[in-house]
Amino acid sequence: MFQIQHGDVLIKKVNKLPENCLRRERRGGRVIVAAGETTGHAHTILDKGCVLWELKGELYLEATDPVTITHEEHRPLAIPPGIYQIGTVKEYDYFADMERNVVD
Amino acid sequence: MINVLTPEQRGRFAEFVHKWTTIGLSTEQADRLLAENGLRQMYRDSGLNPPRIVWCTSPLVNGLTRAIIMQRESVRESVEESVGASVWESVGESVRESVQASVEASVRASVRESVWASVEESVWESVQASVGESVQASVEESVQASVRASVWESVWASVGESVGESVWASVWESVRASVWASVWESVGESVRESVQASVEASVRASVWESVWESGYGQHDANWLGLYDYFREACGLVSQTKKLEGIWAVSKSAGWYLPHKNICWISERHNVLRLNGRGRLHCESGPAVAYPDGFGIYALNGVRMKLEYVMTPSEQLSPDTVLKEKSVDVRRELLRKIGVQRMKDYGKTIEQAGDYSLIDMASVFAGTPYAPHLLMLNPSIPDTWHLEGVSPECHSIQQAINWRAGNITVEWKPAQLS
Repeated sequence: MFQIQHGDVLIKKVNKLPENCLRRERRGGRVIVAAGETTGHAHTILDKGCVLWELKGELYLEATDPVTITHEEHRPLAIPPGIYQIGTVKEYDYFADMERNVVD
Repeated sequence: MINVLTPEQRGRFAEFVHKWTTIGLSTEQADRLLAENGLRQMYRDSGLNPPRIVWCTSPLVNGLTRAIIMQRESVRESVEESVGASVWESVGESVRESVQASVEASVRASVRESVWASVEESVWESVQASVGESVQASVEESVQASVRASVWESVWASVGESVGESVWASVWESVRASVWASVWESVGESVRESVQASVEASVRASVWESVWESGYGQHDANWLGLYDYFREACGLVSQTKKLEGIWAVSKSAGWYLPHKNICWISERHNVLRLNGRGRLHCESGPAVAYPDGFGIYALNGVRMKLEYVMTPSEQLSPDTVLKEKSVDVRRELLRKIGVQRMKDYGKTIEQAGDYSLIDMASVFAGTPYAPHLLMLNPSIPDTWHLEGVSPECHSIQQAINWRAGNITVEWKPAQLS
């Protein structure tokens, strides 16, 4: 399965959108795929040919045209048209003895 | 309707980027006369009476002063310890001035007397006690929507009707986007986040509101630069006339918090240190500071705790790095402490290319095996990340798979940055 990784954001191609997804509106004309907490930086897509969907906290990107994901600290990456599930890298905290999603 | 920019007009993009970036990053003392005239013009243009103007020493003091006046509650214990005594002195001064500006002349003298009477004993208690209901009532609601947001919308519409879509997009990308990145994204946003982070729950809502109800003064440079270009380079004078007051304030001062009868306005930052990429960065003090000492500590654009910046690297322990939850903060701590020194604390299990799997069990008492993945950032030279992975991971590929969701499903992205 086609995979892209943009920093801590995992982009995995899937066959179709799940049913009952809700459309996430753009902010300032951009699709915010993931927003950082300490820097204000974000993984964003400015191109018009895509929509971000959400179902029970899971995000899906529907790209009808080639689009580019950008972030202040990572090289831009081209995403071919398709349906993608968006995930976040996880890590293990040995002080708390638990796993969690990476926080930036 | 302007549908095409001339070569001369296009040639002026850089001039406006430079002009407004310089305004946005200025560390000069506020030009109070110019700013006050600008504020009065803003109010008049919105059909409001000119406000009493109270100068504050930072955006944080703007917000805290308003919280005291509006809530009439003690807020001191709700503010983070990192906010220094000098900020409090400044809040006291601003509250006193607000009280004096908000009561009628006939009672002003007695109020002033009561405010100043116990200054020697307790500045804080005296200003707290002096804020009465009449003062609170006189301040009334925020007028940010009238003096700033509606002006912005009106000018947006007027200019939008006067220029074609491609011209608008071109100026937006060439002027506004550049100033946005240099001023708002690098500095203004950090100031906003830091003001909010400096207070705890009981006053957070009020200070949070104050942040969103502010005009950002010099940090509004991105959109004010956009319209300045349309006015000066394209001749759209009448369409942008309503901005004259806001332009004057932003060229001469920091954030302002406009209420019906009073406007709190902040000095500009007097310290601003950036790295070569225009990110907030200082290894020996605050990267941003205001005259009252309110400051932001940052390394390579990442806001840090004061102690992370000011503690010499040799005194930072591996625990400090590993306990930090933000990967960006951890990245900067790792840079400071040194990758090799960090590796020396553990035992390397596997090393391949830009990855190392390191057992950091020595840091965690009672933990027999604590694998961590050390990775080189593929986008930024000499930048490393260190992240814990499950104790099930015994190879780099297992660790990569686990981070992506499943230790048994291979994660090999076609593109990685």
